[in-house]
Amino acid sequence: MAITTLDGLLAGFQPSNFFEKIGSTMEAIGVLHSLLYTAGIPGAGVAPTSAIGGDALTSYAGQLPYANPAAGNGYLGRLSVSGTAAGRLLLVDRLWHNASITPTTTTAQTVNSATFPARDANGSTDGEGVLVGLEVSTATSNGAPITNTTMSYTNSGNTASRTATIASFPATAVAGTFVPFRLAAGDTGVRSIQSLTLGTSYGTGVIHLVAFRVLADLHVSLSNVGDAMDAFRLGLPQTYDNTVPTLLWQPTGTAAVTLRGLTTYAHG
Amino acid sequence: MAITTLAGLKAGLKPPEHLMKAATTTEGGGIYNSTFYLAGQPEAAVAPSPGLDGAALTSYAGQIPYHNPVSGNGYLASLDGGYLANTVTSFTSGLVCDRLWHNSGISITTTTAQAITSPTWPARDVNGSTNGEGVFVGLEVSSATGNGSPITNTTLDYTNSDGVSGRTGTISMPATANAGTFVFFQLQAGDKGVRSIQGITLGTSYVSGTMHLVAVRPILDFFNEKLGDTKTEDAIAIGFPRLFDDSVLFTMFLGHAGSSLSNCITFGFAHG
Repeated sequence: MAITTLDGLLAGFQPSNFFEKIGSTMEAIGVLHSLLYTAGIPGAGVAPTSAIGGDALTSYAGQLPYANPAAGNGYLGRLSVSGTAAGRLLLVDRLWHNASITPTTTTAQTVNSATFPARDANGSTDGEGVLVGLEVSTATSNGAPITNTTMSYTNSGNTASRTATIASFPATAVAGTFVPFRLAAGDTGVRSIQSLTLGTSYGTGVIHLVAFRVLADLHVSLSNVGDAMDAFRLGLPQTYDNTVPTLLWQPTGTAAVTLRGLTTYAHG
Repeated sequence: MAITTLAGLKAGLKPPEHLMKAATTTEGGGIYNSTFYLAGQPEAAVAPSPGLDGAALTSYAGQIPYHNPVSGNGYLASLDGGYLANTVTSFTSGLVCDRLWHNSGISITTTTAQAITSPTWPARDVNGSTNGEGVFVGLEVSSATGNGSPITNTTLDYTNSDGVSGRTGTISMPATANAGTFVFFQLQAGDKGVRSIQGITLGTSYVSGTMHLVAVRPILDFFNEKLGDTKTEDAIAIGFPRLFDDSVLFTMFLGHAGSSLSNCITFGFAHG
């Protein structure tokens, strides 16, 4: 089964899920911000406490609601958002995250990630379209931007020993800061993570590796007015069973931002 | 029965209903303003008076008219929203909600817990049940409050949609909130909705004014970018949301500081 007609789409729409994330202070213009730890609707998530090998996620308290289809496939059928400031919203499926990174260790920390859930772009565990970010749940204290953090990973083509980089991780990053790794040339996703090398001490604070797949993005051009994308503008992206939808916000300033919107899925 | 085809949608379309509300001065940037008490079409609702425990709603004077289907399901099939008068800015965001429950009798100066035993919600959560998934609670102002500064220690004691009691919702209310101000409570982590309410603790006196707790299911949001602009969205664009029997529809919108907005919205429905 799959949705292949307008009739199928119409018949498959599910009830919308409202979200409201309140007043999260941003790190800097253009630096992504994870809204998992932001209060609102749904309530704030708790920072992961897993081992450094992390947890493959099939649900997580604080995620946006998602229900598996009783039969057939799941799709994102509508996404809307308005914000108290302009910016760009990314709706992502959070596949895996870890904890227990020592922020002061500058040499390699072995990760050996658990197998990601079969929710890459093709519904497999290969990692096509799966990216990895460094997420802050407690503010770091590094006095200057850090430019030598690297990650050793296996790409979605199953080539090991690839090296991802972070061009610049901001100084004293606030909780919620989320910086994606840049993959090695030619790579289109991450299958697994072998190690993390911070290169420079992040001082205090708590950071996590997060593997995610972008489902959609939506731009807010004016404060307090938003936009909605229907199934066609979204490209009717497929969502797989046990998707863990979460939000990332790319701000145009550092002021606290409140975001509201709806996600609507279709089954069929 | 359900509408599962475009032909079924076409056959099931019903006459539209219109909302035209008088201009109102909004509370402030990024705060929802309920149109429930504004004059216009439909007529202004009278502030609720059922007491602290409140009333489950199957109709209420001032709601957007809604007719139950004779058979099959009800749906919101289209929306055309516009804003005709705006003294400061020329764009906003609106939210259509089903109003499931509201109360009155909140002592505005009592800073300790005020017990509430809310009745069972109508079976109109996102799944058409009384569990409360997708049902959220806000504080709605029907007469302006007198608190001189924002209040951030008001809490709500609630049971979540999974039936777990002892949950605490939090809120940040603006100073001297205008009539119409509507602010949602923030839920505890992992909660997907509210099944019932056990109490409210204001924490700080609101000095004067009248506030109500309101349980709503948000159904659809919509946006306008220019003064006088309307944006028509069809069934596919709005995700063809299901409406359950006895829905009590009303709208709210995001204000801009000091702006004055007049709402003008047309709702299309379908049965089948």
